[in-house]
Amino acid sequence: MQVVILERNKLVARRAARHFASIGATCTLVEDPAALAPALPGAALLCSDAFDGDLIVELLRNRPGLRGLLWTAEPIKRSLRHMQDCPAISHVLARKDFESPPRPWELLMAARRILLGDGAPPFTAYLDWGAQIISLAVSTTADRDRAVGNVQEFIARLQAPKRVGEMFGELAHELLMNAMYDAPVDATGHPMYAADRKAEITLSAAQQPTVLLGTDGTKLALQVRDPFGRLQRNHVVGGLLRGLSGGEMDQSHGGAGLGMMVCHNSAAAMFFDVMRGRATEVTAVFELDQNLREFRTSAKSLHFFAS
Amino acid sequence: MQPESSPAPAAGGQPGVPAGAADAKLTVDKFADGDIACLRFAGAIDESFEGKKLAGTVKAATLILDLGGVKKISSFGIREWVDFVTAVGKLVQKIVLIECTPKVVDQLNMVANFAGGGRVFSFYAPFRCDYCDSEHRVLLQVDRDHEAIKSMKLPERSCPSCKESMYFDEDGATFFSYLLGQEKFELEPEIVHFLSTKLNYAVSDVARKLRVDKLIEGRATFVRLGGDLDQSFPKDKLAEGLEGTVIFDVGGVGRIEPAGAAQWRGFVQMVSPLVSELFIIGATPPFVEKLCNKDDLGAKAQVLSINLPFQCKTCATSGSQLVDVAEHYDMLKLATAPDLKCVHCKNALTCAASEALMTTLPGLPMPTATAEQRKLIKELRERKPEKKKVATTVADAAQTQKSSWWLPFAAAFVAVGLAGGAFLGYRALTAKGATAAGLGKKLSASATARPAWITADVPGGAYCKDMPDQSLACVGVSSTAVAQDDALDEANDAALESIANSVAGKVEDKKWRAALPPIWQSTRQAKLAAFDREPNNTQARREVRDARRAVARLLAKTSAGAVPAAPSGKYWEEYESGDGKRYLAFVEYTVRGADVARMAKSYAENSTALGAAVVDVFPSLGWRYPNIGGGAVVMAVADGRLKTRGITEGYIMLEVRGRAVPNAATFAKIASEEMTQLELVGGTLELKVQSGDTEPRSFQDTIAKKGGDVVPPTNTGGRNNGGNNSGTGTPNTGNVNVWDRVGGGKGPSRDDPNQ
Repeated sequence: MQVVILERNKLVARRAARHFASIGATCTLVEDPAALAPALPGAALLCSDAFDGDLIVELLRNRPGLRGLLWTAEPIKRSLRHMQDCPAISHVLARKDFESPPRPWELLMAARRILLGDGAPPFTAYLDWGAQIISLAVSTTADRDRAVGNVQEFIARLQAPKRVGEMFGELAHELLMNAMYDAPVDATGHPMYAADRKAEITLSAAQQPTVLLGTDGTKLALQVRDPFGRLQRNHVVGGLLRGLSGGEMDQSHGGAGLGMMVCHNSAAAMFFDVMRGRATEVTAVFELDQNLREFRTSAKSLHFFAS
Repeated sequence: MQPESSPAPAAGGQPGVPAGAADAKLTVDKFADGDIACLRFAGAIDESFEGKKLAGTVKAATLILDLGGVKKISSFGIREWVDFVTAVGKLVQKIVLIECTPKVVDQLNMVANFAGGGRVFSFYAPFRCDYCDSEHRVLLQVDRDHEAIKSMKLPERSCPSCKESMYFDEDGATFFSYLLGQEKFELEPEIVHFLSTKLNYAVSDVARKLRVDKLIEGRATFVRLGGDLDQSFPKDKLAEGLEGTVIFDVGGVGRIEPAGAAQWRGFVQMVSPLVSELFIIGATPPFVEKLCNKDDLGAKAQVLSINLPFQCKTCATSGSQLVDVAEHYDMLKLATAPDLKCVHCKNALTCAASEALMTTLPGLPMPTATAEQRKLIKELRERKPEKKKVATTVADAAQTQKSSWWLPFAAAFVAVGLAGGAFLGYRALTAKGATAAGLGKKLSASATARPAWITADVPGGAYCKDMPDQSLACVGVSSTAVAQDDALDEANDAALESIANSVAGKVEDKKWRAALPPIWQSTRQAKLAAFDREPNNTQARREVRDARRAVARLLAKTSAGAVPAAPSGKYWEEYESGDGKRYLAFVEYTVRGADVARMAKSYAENSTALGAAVVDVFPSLGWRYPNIGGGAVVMAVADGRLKTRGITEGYIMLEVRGRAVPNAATFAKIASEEMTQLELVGGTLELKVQSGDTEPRSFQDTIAKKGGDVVPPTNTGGRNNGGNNSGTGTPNTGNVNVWDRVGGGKGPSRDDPNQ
């Protein structure tokens, strides 16, 4: 497994390479973009800062087996455009600044899954050992509202700022609305409840989403899983891009991306795992040590896995 | 009264109910007084909010939206909200948003049309105290706190809980981004009055000051009070020389402070021996409760009318109703409110007066005012006070208007300057020594040295150069941006826009040059001029950015790959400015000479259909029409179907019978296909057309089946039923059913503002 890393900061490159090496990959570190192309033959993954995204997209375009991974200390919009232009890029990892590598656990998780083909990790993988996790059952509209309340209550008990609780409450509401109203389809593949999101519904046991909420005291993670596996990559990338491009209410091409925007604005990292036709898992991670002011201005991660 | 700094409201609170669930339900309270209505929102705006339905219930000229209680907004709620403000914006003349919570401010920043046509007057900024781990919110007003908003920084404040300092818990550049683009404004005096006296909002300190207007008519003295009744009530001065009939209109009195109440009581005692009658009209509930018992009124004072709060359960509206005491005396004597009907729906109103107020009513004396006195009172009440006596924001507003006399002249001057046809270039494009001065200390850059292709660095600029190898190299410079990403995007779009501008200059076709550039040039010049004048004005900057983005998007769609997908160079610099880190980015695109020539030729190539010669939409049209994604621009129209319908040069064909028109050739193709089809079976040819500065419009033309039955026209607008458009195929109209026609086909009666 050959990984090529284009990174001008040597220290960042070495640290990232160490994570890849830990799972048995060999890394080629490149500082000069001009030297990138010759290093690519035989490579399985190409990593770089989103600043060089145009070049990465160009290089990936003609190399079908090669996948891309971007990291960035900037807002995600530019990276999203690269994701939209290039299906080989499905991962953007946030980093604090240009002198910091991405979060180690996130880089390692992405590396394992991309290079070793590991499936979706258990929910505990997003948190440190010993984390407290609760599960919420949701089958009716009233359950949804109760679950949103429970999420806020759970966060309030951590003595986290109330606004964090409200933010995660909104996130839970968005994810549940998608899992309950958009995901379910009948035997012919037709959406069952998407036409009227105001309707009170009751989902059968086979249709019910599951909600997991957990914390290890430094991270907060929320996961909503539906048993349908219908989420499209374009819905995530295109939707978020539309939402972040000024939020014009153009709903003619699959929504204005407002839901995706709410998700993006509420989490430090979002993981979309689609097991086609079987399940969709959306996991949001928030770092509790970061205050909201820092959170607003820091970069966010986005991962899309499909199997 | 809303406190200026208040603890962030607690969630939940009901036993056994999770916090989030308790505040989930949205409540909307309506208050109305004359032409002004206020909707107060509390709770979560989500899928259960029915925006259009609520909008349909609003009947007012000015609508105030109090968003101080909004706790959550879901994505579906945003859609409903935008539907609401869009619909209500068509019904009212003015929308003012007040007390927007941080959640609402977030949406204003992210969703382009979240405020509709409304303006934000006040909003809460979130503060956090790390000492006592508490969160608070501070109410800011766009007039009073303009400088703080402009600086994007809020100073630390004393925490209301522990008195240690608390800090603004948001990123200023993000949080204030929408508000910075909004012009500073002050509320109109009547809105201030409504909010401060009817709803007890703290909107203006000036508005709360007691105002006294006095009118003398024969032996009657009419005194109108407004603002808070406090120590400043000039009882001695007012009592001087009073005699005859004295009428006090107290409808504008807000809060009644104990000192003010004492002053009033002293005043009534003082003037009772001097006057023949003392009539009180428009008494507000607090006034009645505090100052209208038997002792307070004394021997001479009588309450003629009361403002009682009523609710209409059908319209779900609250408002005060003026109740004539004499007319309803028998009911009031029994501490019962009179039966009144809603002026909107005519259903019965329910009195919402407090128990304390109702128990005061039986003590009111039966008024003895004669019909003649009542007539005089009505007349005096309707008479406007002279402005010079009013020491309120009315005066301020008048002053503001006076000081703005030069504005129309300035605007005219600018217009003349622009209309002169002079090409207004980008800011100091190639000025010698042009530098990014004033940006502060340079911290880092994407390369050790600036690339040689950067020859000017004025923020927001762009320039093109014809290279010796015939290629065209265009460089865009960003304005100073908070994020590197934004700076690069902005520079990228500026570079692409300058390519389009250069290509336009290289088109040789005279007809094209005469027809197309005039469509966008004045808009482009005006936007660039505004940005040039005020480079730090967020609105001006945003307009240029958005327009450049639209041009860049159109260029990518229409240049058929002539413009490279990736830039030939990019570079950024990071600066430490007084306001934090800022980025300046540069992007260069190089277009091969052959491609430039190809573009200059192909954009002017004509296609013909329906008697019109059309060319591809040119990217620079994005300056004027940022939402179009393609189209065919009419260059010339021969006599025929289109000309008869009023379609003329400069119109942009967007759709033919619902099929999108990406370019001129496709327009010709699908227009021909559709006409062939219509001539076989008959039907309506519908064209979606962009022109002028209005939304795209539909033009319809009924096509008769060749040699067969005539298909009756379908009238979509309901505005063109007259005259010959009956579908009988009269020679004058050829079965025309023109969407915007008025007047029934007599001459050129097309209702097109661009003609």
